[in-house]
Amino acid sequence: MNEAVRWRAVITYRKTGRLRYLSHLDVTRAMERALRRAAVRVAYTQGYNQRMRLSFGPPLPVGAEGLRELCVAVLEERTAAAEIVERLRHQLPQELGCVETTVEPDDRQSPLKHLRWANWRIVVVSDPPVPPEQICGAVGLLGRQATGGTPRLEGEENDASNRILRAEAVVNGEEVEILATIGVAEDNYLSPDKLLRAVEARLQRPIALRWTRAVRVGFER
Amino acid sequence: MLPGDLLLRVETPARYVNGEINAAVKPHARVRIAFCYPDVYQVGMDHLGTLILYHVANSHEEVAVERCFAPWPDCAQQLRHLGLPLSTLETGTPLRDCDIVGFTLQYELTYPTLLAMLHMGGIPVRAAERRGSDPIVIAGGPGATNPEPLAPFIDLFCIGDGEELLEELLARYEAVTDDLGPRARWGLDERQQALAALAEIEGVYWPAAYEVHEIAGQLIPQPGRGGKEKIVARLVRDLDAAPFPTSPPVPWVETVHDRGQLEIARGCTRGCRFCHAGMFYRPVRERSPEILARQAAELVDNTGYDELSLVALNCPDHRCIEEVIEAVQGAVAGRGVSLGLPSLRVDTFSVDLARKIAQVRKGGMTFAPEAGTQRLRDVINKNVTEEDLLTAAQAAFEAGWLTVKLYFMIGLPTETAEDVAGIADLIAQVAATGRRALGRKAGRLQINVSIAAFNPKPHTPFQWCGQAPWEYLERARKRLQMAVRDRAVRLSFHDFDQSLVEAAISRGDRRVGEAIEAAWRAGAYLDAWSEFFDVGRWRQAMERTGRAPEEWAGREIALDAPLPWDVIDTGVTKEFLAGEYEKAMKGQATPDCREWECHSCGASRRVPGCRGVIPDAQCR
Repeated sequence: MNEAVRWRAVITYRKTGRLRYLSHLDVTRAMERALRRAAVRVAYTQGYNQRMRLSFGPPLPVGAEGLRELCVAVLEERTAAAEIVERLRHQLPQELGCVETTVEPDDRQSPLKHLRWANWRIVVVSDPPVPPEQICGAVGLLGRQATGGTPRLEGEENDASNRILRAEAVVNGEEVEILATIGVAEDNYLSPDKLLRAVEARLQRPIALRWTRAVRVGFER
Repeated sequence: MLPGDLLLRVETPARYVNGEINAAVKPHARVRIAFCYPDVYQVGMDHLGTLILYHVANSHEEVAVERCFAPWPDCAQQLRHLGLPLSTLETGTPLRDCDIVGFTLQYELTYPTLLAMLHMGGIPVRAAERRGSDPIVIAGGPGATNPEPLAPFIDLFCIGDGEELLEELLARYEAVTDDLGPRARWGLDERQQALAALAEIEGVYWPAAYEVHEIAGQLIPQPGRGGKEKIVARLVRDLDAAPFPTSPPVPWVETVHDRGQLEIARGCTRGCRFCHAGMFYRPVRERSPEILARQAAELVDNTGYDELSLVALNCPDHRCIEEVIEAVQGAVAGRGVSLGLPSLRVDTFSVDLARKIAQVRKGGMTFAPEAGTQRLRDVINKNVTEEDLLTAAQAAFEAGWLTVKLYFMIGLPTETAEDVAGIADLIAQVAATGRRALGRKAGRLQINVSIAAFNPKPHTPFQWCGQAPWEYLERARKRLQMAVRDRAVRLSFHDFDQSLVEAAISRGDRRVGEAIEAAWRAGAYLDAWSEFFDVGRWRQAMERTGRAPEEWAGREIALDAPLPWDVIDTGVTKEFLAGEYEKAMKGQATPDCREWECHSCGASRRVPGCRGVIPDAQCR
């Protein structure tokens, strides 16, 4: 391997529990500080205001959880992935913990490039209850595979169908669990909130949410 | 922590979640204290005093100090709606279940928020209405040097530096609970006994032990049973030995300053006659470069901050400032950490220092000439000349700064139209200096000028002076806006209505407490935020005192009249302050005692031969 090649750490972390209320900027700041505390030798940008060379995966909305979020740190020197995991373990709470890390040459395409889809698990309890079966049915009619198209959302130019790759739902007591693959790229981004609005549009009635939990479980290219 | 469904309905929910790195969570501590900051998390988390005391008290195994901040109105409304009490961050303990609830008094307009927090926390706002088992409510900070406006609401005030006082308070509290049993089972008698025992500690003021008598139109507290003649402010003599938090909680959300803080010195002997901090925190105490280097390294290790700020009333006054900068820079080298030096006095700002700071960080460069003419600068004892300012500005521009900030006040005692015009002249000269020094970059020159109304503060030589009327301040503002037409200059004015209420409270007596309560009951909350401040509400509230806010703020007090805050001895004598007032009226300056001779301000009573600074020498 060429000695001049830089190395990067691809850190997979979670954002769960009470820390789901952190914004994307909060998370990036927390990660930068954790890396500095952990004395992981991250490279800095050149110039007057030097910044750590970090990049992050698509932002996660405030209140949403993520199980496999991504942070890429360009390293000053090659460091073993296990060492980075161990050092970060002491510097981040469990809810924002490192799931795994790989170290790879920085001359390859960034793993953050061309991330187009995210897999979501969204649990909804409506109040007063819209029958869960109806929500389920409406979800099944969303997405590219659905027939009849997806209604246009208020304030949006196009319907949401090209931003929903797959969507299905199952009823579990009073809960409806929606499993959806929705866009995270600039040209197809859809938030879980908007997905629920698409469901409402399909139902032609609002879902008064008593409780909801949105978890991004991973990405697809 | 607040319930999740509530957090989804409020702005910036991460400020309520706790679990920050270095937060001290001690669910089984014997004594639980809530440290409350009567403003929001993003403001309070930057307060160094709170962080210091959090560190001091949490060093005790049996004691848990937890933080509590004022919730933003959307969250406060949700708490009310759900019937939930205001609770601490660390363990979610309602304020009413804590043993001690402490507040820091940094700014008068936060006082209604303090009452709101007590009420939201389930504690009766009036001290006299508290039951035996209610928490003991304490308050400290600069605002406590005139405790009278808050006397009806606070059980005990802690005056002066808090590090040692808090240690003693905790020890005494534990002894009291050994004698009287746990607080939750106290009746009113036990509560009185506990308050009396805690009030014996030096620096603690127990307002309920004083009766107030009206003398010359002011309510003056006089000691009754359990009341001391004078409450002597506490003083930490050795800053090197004093505890300092090198692992403070690291906020999840961005705070106003959002950086690590290193206190390099406490106190100032320059003697500006309007400055409360400069009189209150005497003499100067400095930390040595070696200690600061160690603390800087620990702070970065423990927090991961990418910026450290050196904190003092005027950083360049530290006798070893160059060594301090070198030592701190060396301690954090190679870790992507920048250094900031926030407060600069123009006459101590050298070209060398400008270069040294420029190497690390080109943040804001702020100068505070305060007044526009030499005559008025002599009156306020701002011992800087026009030449000082222009030399400092030139040094800054030559070192690469394109933007400087200037602070001025209007409505200062003896001010004339000529002094106001002098502000515009001085700004123009700084702008001309900037253009000359910057040459081809002159087009990028920016001078931000911040202008505030003079606010007379207790325990200063101007405590006897009134605040200038609103109409005068408005006229001065318009005159300055007309006179300063340079596109490189941005003028901003502090809200004069807020200044009016601040001044009315800061020199108030116990009657002003009635107005604070009335304002809170009428909805005053987070009044330091201009979007929530309503001067009309304060006018109505002040009617309860029988005086308009203008009468409280603008009143001139005779030099020989007793003052509501005379019971507090900050270390500086009233005779010294009166002498300074008289010299001000004659336009005579008093040089810094560190460079001249002792002016007998009173500090040497506590630190014999202090010469303005302790220890005597420490620079290499």
